[in-house]
Amino acid sequence: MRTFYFHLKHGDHLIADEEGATLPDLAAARHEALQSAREILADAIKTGNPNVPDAIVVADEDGRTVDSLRLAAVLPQPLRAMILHEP
Amino acid sequence: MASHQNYLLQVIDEAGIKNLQPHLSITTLQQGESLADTGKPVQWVYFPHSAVLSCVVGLESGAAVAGGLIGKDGAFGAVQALDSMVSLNKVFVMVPGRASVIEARHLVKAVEAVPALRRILLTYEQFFLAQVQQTAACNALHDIPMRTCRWLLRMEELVGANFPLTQEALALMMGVRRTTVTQIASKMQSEGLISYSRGQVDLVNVPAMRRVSCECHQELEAHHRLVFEQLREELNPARRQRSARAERGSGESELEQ
Repeated sequence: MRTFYFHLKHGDHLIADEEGATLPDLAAARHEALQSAREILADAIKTGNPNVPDAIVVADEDGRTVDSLRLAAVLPQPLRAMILHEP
Repeated sequence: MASHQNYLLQVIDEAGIKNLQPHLSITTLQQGESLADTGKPVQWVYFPHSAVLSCVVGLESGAAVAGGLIGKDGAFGAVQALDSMVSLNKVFVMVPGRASVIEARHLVKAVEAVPALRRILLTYEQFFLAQVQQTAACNALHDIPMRTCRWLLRMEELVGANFPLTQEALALMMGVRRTTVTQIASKMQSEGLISYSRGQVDLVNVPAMRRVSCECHQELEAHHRLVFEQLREELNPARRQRSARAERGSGESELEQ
């Protein structure tokens, strides 16, 4: 088990996760970031809140960034393609 | 007197019921301590003073949501002790602190001897059921900032404006992921509603939080007042006469509480 931190990136400002979560491995941390991004974005859409982070930055115990997930990446695929001009 | 730090024990004492007292002792509960598990027998009944307990429903996926909080205005395990003897869900200590505790079998004997005691415990259980129902509606329909304020105000009612609370515990209470709590705590901090650092919450603007909160907290406060005022008057004829006098406008008797 390892401790991972899920910081929220808003432009050049970072909301630090001071507490962290104990998870089995990096794959579990990535899954947690994905589920968190979905929840934050879903709630922002539901309530019309424009103040969403750009990304969730996952860091390990030593403060190293081990993953970064853009919130726009969790949009349903057709919308994502329209917004990000991805195929 | 220590028993008065719990509202139910105060009501029991006020009704002149003495047969619980010899079996009560005071214990200190640690943060995260588990007091009951789903389907497991309930051997002890807790009347919290400064501690707050959380009843949690765990799902197959590993996710969990709190159904209700129990603090100085209630008890855990009384109805389970009287009826099925098993707990419906997991109960753990969310805020550490003191509680009066009694062995379930002693509580059962005391209730058999004094029917009014059963009345008091069932009235609380009715309030707890109202809390759980309100929570189901609130979780389904109210947005996250409203719900956060609602739970923090409930905590304030139980333990005051400054208390230890992990983001994980708050996420569990609200049925959201911890990262959502990171986001909302930061927003509430920048709006001057709370100050949050290293697991310690300070509610710096309670009136503003009441404005942001949904109606659920106030509904439950009113429900608690209603059911217990009625019960206390029934159990204490002297109290009923006093409040009747107050209603007629003598005024002074209102000061006694």
